[in-house]
Amino acid sequence: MSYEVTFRVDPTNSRTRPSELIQQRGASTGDAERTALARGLGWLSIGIGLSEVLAPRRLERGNGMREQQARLLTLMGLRELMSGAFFAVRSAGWKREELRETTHSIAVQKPLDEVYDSMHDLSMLPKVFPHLASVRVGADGRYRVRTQPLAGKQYEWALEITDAVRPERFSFCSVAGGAIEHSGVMVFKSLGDGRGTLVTVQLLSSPALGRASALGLSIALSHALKAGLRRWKQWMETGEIATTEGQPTGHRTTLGSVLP
Amino acid sequence: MKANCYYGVHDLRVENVPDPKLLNPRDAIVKVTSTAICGSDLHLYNGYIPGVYGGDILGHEFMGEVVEVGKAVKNLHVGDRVVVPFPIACGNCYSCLRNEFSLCENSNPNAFMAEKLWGHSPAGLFGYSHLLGGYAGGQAEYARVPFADVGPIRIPEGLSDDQVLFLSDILPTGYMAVEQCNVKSGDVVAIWGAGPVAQFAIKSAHLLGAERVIAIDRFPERLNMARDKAGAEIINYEQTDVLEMLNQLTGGRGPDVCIDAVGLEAHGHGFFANYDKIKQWLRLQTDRPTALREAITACRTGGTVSIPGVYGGFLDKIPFGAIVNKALTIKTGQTHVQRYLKPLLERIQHGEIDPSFVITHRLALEQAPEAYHMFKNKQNDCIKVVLKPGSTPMPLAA
Repeated sequence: MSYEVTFRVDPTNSRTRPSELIQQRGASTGDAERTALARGLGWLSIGIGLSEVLAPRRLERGNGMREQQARLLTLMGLRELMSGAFFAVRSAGWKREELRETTHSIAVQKPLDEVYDSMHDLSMLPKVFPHLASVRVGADGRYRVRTQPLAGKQYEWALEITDAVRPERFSFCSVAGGAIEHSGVMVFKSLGDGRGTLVTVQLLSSPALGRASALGLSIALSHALKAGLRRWKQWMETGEIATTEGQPTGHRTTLGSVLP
Repeated sequence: MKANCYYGVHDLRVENVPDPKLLNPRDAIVKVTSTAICGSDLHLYNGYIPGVYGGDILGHEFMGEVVEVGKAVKNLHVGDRVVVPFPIACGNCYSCLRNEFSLCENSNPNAFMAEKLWGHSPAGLFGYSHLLGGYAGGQAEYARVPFADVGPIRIPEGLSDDQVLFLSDILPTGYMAVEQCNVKSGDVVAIWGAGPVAQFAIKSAHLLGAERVIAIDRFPERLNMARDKAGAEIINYEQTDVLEMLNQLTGGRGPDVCIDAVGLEAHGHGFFANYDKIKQWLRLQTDRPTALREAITACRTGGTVSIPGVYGGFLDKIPFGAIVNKALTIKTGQTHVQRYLKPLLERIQHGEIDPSFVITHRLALEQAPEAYHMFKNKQNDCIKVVLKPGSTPMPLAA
């Protein structure tokens, strides 16, 4: 017995796809513009680095630094030169932000229909993704998602289920204009033989929250998606989500949670 | 409440911490009446288990009185006297439905940590590192018990704490170590280590039909207990060549079942024992598999090696060639305690086994730090310590 787990978001099913959104945005902030900025920063670094290496004493006096730190400045100059060179070289190959794709699956010890119905109800999302504050269903059938405050700001976007074939699959997509742009598909298969249901989710997302998010966000997103699926499974199978938050502990110190 | 908290290697303190609360509908709160120190707690105490943080409450062997139940717990009531199994299991997932409770898929909130180290996560355990859930342990006056509708077993009138406390871990652990080897009548069972788990493995081997049971250790008080109380033949590995003696006892064939009830801090002696000590000290290996190596080598062709001893990480110089070429079966795993509670309670009720014989010290909860120190250093012939919250501190030496 084998299962088809490779799939793509079907363009005919998703009205607004992240790729389109990114193309729209790409028009305003072009590749050339960005490459030029990176290259400029690279040359600036090289300039600073050269002056630190060639004239450390002069810089020392100019900056009002204590005596005998010239050697330190030379080292800093070398470091600056290296990062400058890196920027100048790498910027040539910089491309437009790309779609990030994350795929995870989980087996849930419940019948196919039950799993589908539970996961089709997106108002469950805050229960399994703790960084979401709320999801409300509007009159238009769209889900309004709001995050927990992140550096003092709550982000919002709307999600809609774009097509659904109960109990096999449904696709979802963010509505243009929100803080985050993503779409995805969830596929459900009965594993048979008392093994429950296989849920596979594929999420396509544009780098959210501006350009600061590079690799880090994609790792965090993958981790969050996996953890969220696990919590959803816990909720469906046990009726609760395993936690230790709020249990007693002795005195916690930062050092104590790092050192053995 | 008072709780025994970890603050670093060999640094435990009994402190006042907030009382536990119900956090989920299937939780219960238990007022602890007896809690024991396990040999595997020493691995935490000695710093060999990763993910133990300053302030963590230790302890996974405990029992007590139910004082509060969550709204989804229908089978327990306030006032019930219960023993709590050390693995936390939901009873609903694929593993639990197969009675593999220590592999519960839903009870470890930090499953991602265990997945990094082991590929997949087993169940969460009480008081046994954040890798295994980060749950507060039972060496405290009160404990929160998740999935209380699945784990704890009600204890009938007429049985003392000392008789039933070890249902929480070491009695089922010793029992499973033997049971999973399909012992047949006439079989010879050799057990490395003569600590409390080994004592129960000896008893279980007799109950399950073994012909001869041989216990291997170096501490006279433990060997004497194995001989006099559990009924084993004994080998002191400091005085006798173990492999030679096992061959003599089995006509050169080797024991049918070899059980490693020692785990990752084995002592042993000779070249490999020193090799392991140095490598572990240099952090070039996480565990010292000295006993395991010998158990694999001693086992007869086609025999079974069972490992109730705890290992956590990466082991060096495991004679895998012996496993393959002798066609050995390896059985291991954290104990599926929930599976054994009822049958073993019945055996206790019928007088087939009285687990209280392993207890050498009954102390107050406040004495936990000195008790760990004594247990680690095998002082005062210490084999098993039971801590009683609320009792008056006792002298350590008899």
